[in-house]
Amino acid sequence: MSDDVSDLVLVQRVQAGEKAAFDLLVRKYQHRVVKLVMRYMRQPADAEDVAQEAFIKAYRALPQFRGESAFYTWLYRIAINTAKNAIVSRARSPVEYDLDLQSNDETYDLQSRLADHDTPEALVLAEEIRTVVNQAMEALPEDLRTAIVLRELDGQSYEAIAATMDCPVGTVRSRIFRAREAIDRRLLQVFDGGLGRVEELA
Amino acid sequence: MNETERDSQLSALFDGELAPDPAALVTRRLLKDPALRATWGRYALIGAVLRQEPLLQPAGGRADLADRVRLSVLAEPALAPVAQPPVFAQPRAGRWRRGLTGAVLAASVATVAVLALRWQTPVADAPLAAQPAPPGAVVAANVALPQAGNAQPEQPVSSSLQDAAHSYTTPSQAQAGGGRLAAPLVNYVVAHSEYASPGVRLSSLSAQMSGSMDPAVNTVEMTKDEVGARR
Repeated sequence: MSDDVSDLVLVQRVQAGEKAAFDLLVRKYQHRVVKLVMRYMRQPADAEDVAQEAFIKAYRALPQFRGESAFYTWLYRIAINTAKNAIVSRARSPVEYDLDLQSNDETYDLQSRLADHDTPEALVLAEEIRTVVNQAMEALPEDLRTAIVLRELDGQSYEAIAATMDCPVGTVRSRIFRAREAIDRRLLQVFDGGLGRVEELA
Repeated sequence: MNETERDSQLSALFDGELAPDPAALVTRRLLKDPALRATWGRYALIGAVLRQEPLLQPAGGRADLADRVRLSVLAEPALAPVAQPPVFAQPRAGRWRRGLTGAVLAASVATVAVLALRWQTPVADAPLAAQPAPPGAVVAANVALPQAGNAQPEQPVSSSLQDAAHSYTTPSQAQAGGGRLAAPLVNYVVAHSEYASPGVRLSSLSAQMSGSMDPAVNTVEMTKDEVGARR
């Protein structure tokens, strides 16, 4: 089974007129879309604007979405085309890929570009979130960590993870949930005990 | 259902690993329960951190991206009725069946690749004019691109979001049939291109995923008329 099921359920709700369902799709994919768009846009604020435009275009085009591809694949195309159109209309140059290629860690470049846009408070919060999530990952038992890495980083299905880890699919589901639950507990402590901005980030 | 089981189902839903009926049930709960929606958002945040994606936050006095989209969508008119709602895939097949499907898909891709190579390899004794043109040449012949120094006027960039949606978000029958890859393969390449190096991302396959085999053609939005003219 793939992402199609949950996304299609949400798409059907949106198509039936429930706009709140689209918000869940946005919250699920916004980070990936912005990262995708940042391949084309120099400024993080521009990338967010383009991502916003892409999501709105996707919403308007949803009546034509037939589910022949995964929702994210469809959204991916819209986002890339929106980014390319933005480059043309704003007469700006795309990101120099050779610069990216010189860097072993693409994320470093991404973070340095984000730093221009974020406020100090936002940067502190982002850094704290990253630290807490990574520490929580380190603290996970090996089987839970492997399961969530295979899911979140490799994008594998539960069935593929079950084959890799030689365990039933139900065990994979449980391990991924327990991993998320453990990380989420640490994350909530940050929000509740620190900056208290759960709603803003959720 | 206790809270743990509820959250476990939410986690599986987030991964698209619930069957359609339970998925519909959990989605209904999700839409009604703000706490569940917040958990959904944090699950997305955890994935974003692990994949080293940008963490989106309110900055510079403006709301975060999701909130801006939500407000824009709220201001949108109701969507047009859907003629043909998206359908769920068939229930999960057995592993042997999935393996067989994969093998058939791989064989199909290999066959297409071999045929494409043979197509592009000139036949030794045949005159060039008699040889079939490669697909790219057909596209190039049908699409008149503005050249540097050419007097052709630049194509206008459509600013209408609605036109843009019609122009590329819904592939035409012709697009869907010719030169397009099978949906599972497209989904696979898009999913995995996210983790590829920048150089690999620019491969022709990734470009095809974005419908951009010819950047000069696709950089500018095509209006409906332009699309029609290129068919």
